[in-house]
Amino acid sequence: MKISNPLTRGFYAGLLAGMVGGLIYILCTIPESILGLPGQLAENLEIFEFNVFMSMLGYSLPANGMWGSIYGIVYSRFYNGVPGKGIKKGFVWGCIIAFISNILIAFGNFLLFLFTGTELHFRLTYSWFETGLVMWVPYGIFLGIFYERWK
Amino acid sequence: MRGGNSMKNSIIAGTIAGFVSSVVMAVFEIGGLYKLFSTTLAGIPINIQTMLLYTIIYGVISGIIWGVFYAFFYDYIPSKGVKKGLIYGIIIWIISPIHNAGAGVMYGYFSWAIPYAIATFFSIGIVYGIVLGYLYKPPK
Repeated sequence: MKISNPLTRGFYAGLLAGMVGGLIYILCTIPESILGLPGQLAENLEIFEFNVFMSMLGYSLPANGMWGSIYGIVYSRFYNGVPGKGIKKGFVWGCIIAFISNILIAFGNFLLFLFTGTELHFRLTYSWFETGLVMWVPYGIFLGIFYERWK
Repeated sequence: MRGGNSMKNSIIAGTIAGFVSSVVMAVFEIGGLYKLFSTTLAGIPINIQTMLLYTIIYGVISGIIWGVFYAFFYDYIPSKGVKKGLIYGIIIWIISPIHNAGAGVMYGYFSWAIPYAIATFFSIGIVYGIVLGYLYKPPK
């Protein structure tokens, strides 16, 4: 499949990559829940339940697909400015998105945790940091793959 | 990526723009925007002094980081001058605060997410973008 318009290509590549990133993240919450780490699934329940997992998956795929398509459109606009070539470009973009949209927010929550000492902000720090690394970095790799493949 | 002067300019412009935008954000907090919906931040009681301190520190640090990315992608952002900064401000507003507010909505923190989205639209999307676009001058 070839998509000649870069914005359209960024949209579809981002949509698919966002859904893949969301799926990877949700799958990572299973061992996380079993290990008792303070991730998003662990915030909702103490033991793993299939129904909760499916409802998170039901939210995660469309929501991350939506965010992925927005970031994909911006990627297509900034494409020439992103360092690297081919798939590596996508990986760098994923790291930038993870940093701006998640790790920076994790840092904000860590500051609030330092100021208030509330457990919620510690959990949010962990969750935002984790989603940045587990969801948006793989998103970037898949965005790079799809974007280059559909050129 | 432009040279060292560009980095220095972006850090200075980002610091000032981040500070101004955090003051605007603080005005929303003092003005009671959050109290329209809830008396707590995401369900956690927090006093206004702590909130303001957090807002300024986080605003300035975020402003510097966003400013560096602005210089990095300067040539690829549409338009010129202040308008370029405004477009970048809107992009940053969507990537960072709206993403954050969206996650808040997912967990049912509507009373925090809605005023947060409104306040950050003005403080980051509009004010940060305009100040950054006005102050940042790319080296020729």
